[in-house]
Amino acid sequence: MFTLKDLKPGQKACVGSIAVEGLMRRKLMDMGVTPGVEIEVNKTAPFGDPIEVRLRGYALSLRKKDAANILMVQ
Amino acid sequence: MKFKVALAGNPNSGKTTLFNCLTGSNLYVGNWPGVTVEKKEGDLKNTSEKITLVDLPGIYSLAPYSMDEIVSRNFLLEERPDLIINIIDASNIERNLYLTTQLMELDCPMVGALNMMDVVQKKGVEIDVDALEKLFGFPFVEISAQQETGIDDLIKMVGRIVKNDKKQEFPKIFPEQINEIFKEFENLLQNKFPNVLPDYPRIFRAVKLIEKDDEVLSKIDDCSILLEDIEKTRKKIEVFSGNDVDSAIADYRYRFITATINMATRKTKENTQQFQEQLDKVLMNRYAALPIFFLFMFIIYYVSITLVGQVTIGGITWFIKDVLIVNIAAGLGSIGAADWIIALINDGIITGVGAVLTFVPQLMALFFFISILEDSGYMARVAFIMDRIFRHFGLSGKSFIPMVVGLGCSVPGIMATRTLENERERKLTAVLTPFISCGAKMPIYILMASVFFTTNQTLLVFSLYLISLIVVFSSGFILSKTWFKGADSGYLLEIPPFRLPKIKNTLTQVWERIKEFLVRAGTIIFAASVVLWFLQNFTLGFQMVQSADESILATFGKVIAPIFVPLGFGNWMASVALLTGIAAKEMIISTLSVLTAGQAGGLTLAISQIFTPVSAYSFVIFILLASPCMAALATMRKELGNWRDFFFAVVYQLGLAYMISLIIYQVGSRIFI
Repeated sequence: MFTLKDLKPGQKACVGSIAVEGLMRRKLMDMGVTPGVEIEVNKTAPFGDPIEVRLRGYALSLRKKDAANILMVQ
Repeated sequence: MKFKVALAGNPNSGKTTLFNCLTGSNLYVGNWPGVTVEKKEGDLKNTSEKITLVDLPGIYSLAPYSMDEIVSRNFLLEERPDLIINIIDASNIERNLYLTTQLMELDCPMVGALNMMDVVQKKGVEIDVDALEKLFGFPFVEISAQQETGIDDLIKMVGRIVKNDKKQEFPKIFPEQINEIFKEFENLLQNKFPNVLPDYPRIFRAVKLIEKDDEVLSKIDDCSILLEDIEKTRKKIEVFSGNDVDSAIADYRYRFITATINMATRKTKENTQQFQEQLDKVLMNRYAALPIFFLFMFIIYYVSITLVGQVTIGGITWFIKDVLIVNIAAGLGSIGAADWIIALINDGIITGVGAVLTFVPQLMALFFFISILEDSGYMARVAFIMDRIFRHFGLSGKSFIPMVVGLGCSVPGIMATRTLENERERKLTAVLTPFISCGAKMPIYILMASVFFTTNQTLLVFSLYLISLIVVFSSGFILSKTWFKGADSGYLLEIPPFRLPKIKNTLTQVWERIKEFLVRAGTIIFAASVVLWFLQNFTLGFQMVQSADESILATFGKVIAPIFVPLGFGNWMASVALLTGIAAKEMIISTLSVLTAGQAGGLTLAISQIFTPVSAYSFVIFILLASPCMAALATMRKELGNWRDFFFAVVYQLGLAYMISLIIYQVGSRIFI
């Protein structure tokens, strides 16, 4: 069991389920973070948080706190 | 017949640039999520039909998370446009088509504008437009708003479809079983709840109710029985999809999109965006990112204030003082005009308006750089870098964007807070944005710097911006724990690719902003200069004054001046300047010019007599931090939404400005005597 937060820059995996609550959950889905989508981690911000990921052909940034609630599968 | 066409699309899809292409009008354009904060209208050019184009704020979905999304959605639902032009960033087609699948549920004819085709071709991707049309049920046109290609085809297409009564057939996005569940629910609505939002498009209504959309539910008086039925329907979807309703619906949309893209696009060559990656590596480097940002800001201010200033200020001042005023005095004198008319024109109007116009080249340079920062995509990256810091102060990285816009003018800055989803963060950012010094305040700094701090002009101005940053952070920290208490909304931000700003867009933006500045110089400042001149040259008994101290203005200024004595600028002229500054910040400098006109040595000498270096610094700090001009105050009131928060904000801004200036003067004057 690992989460999006555990991925290092350059690594990729598919979304298993999204355990984020409330508004952020729906926003994530609107932005294309849905079960099964492949996400690659691009980089971490200079101060260590947030992270930038690449999915569906574009770059999205989110906080580690939320990334820790996105469960991934290989 | 006049048609109404809406332009809808994702933030960053080039919507405003396309709007400018389609209407020929000049609008505000920027390359970060959420520039268009209000809907704008224009007439479609090059067409025989009468078509009004409405530019909606950029949105990612029709869910009502932010005010932008609510504005767009309400427009589409309530005003019912005759056609929607859905602009799609074709270089980011998958995510952009998500909104498309939602717009299709509004039961309105659509045209798809595949924008940024030049970028797509460079990436080595081919899009089969006919296949897309077959799959989506409405036509697409390939365009590039930046290169201005395909625009005529798009206009022709819009003109043709807007007249056509034939209904477009949109495909079913969801699997058959889900559609059955929708249909069942839809029938139930019609039979059991005929009064529930009967004017809404059918599919949209069903989907939004099933999603338990807050905005839609809030429009229904009593929905307790309806909610039971909604729950039953949600259960069915969950059982079928094996997912919860939210992820199931989003997932089905994206599955449809992925399937269509696989059929309609083809990669012709492998492409790596090496330059983008290299640039990102440098600008977002762990150690260098923040220094690079401050270096950029320093260069911007050094070039616009010091370099441009050196070239232009002397020349403009010479022209106004030695050419314009001298010749007008001579010319009017020779035709026998009264002395007071010459004084009014020269000491009142030309001095007042001229004081503002002197700084136009410097402001142009400043606006030029800000506009490039906005269009290049760097701004979203700075928000990304800053989020970690801003979070500690009750804000998110996104709060940074309104603040950078506020460097130009607080009004669009405060308006840009609408892209923030969280009400608490939005209000807090709106209250803090005026602390960021706007362009109109800059002339005052330059003037004071040129009188008192000649050797370190850029450094002085830079120190002001640093102080404003410190005030923003500490105020954010304090207010987020007191007045604007609450949970944080989180942070989710698209990082757009770097784009080379189009010079035409940049110049348009500079012109738009300078135009506003010039209009104000020609209206408010013109009128106020005349009024000021009269108030300054007449006594309360409406007699021409013998010395400036007897004027109406002086009498009034002397009443309020004592308030500012502890801050070091208890001079009545400084007090009056602060008051007129409420109308527009440029007025401060115009007022000082008008009030000191006619004195030997001019403005510079007069200022060096009124102020000491320390009181001058205390004066600019007060101007920097005290409540903004009327226009910004009105915008702040509108965005805060209630008088209570507004009065708090004004009292806070004034109180803080007074306190900090007090400390600076009291401490400074003891150190530097």
